[in-house]
Amino acid sequence: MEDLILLLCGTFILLASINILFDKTLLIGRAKLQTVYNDLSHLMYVVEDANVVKDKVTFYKDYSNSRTYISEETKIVFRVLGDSFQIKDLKLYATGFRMTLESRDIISFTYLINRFLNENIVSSITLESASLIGEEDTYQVTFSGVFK
Amino acid sequence: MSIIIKQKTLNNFERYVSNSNVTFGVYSTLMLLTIILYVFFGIVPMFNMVISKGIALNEMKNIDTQMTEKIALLKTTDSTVKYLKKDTKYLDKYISIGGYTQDYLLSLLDAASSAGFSLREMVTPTLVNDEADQGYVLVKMSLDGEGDHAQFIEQVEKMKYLASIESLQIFAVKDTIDTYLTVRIYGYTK
Repeated sequence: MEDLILLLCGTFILLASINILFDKTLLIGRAKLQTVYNDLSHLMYVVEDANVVKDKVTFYKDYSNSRTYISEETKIVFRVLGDSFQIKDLKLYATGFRMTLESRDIISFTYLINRFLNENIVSSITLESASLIGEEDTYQVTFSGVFK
Repeated sequence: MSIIIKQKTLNNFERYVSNSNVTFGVYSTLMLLTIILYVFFGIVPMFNMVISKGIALNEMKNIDTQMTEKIALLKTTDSTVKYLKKDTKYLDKYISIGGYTQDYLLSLLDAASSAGFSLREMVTPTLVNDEADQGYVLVKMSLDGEGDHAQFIEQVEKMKYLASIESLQIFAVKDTIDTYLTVRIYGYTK
């Protein structure tokens, strides 16, 4: 019975000592954590700065990858057109073109369409209208194409 | 009479208590009761408290380690960001920030004149937002002259600005050629 009482007393004293020790350690830890937190708060501007830089780089990368270019198509279109036609109206955009051309020679339009197809830049060409202007004896043809 | 009865009852109780067997039983019961109270209301709660404080200490140590690591990382990032900021100045030059496109417009004019065109009119760009809530600026310019369209388009697309050509339109009006260029400039709006 005495042993049991001693054991209980010992256990209680041990637990109480550990409790006091933990309390002190927690207090010291809390103070240290507060210091570290303050240091971290002072460095939060770095996160904002880094995010701004990251956002700008991502923005630039995303949009430069999604940019559409038409310079190659433009070069080919003007090379194919050459000087044989008078351009009345020409519209070039990222997905295709639409043009109205004038020429005295009706066959030249057939050659033109053929050249466009041979250059391998268009997937389709649609002839929209063709008319003969009697006064000038010229043909006016409107057609559109879709770039590959 | 009542005093005599009280005295008798007291004497009987003293006799009963002085019996060692009875005393042993009473004290043993009281002791067991004390031990049970001591264990359940003293040691067990104290043990639980020590355990929870131990867990809290452990968590605190982990948080401390993580925060210290974060501080070290932020210090490294700080120096990297400071170093990169020198380069982002160049990046800023090519990103239209908040629709500010003056530099780009000047470069467009430069490209137009070197391709043989002169500026007739330019519609003042305004910042608009698309479906993805990303800002862009539409610049519409009309040009005079019989310049080289292919060269002009090539020069415009070679520029590092975040812009893409929406359309190039050419109209022959009598003996003159009107050229219209529409460019979409993506704007960083954050």
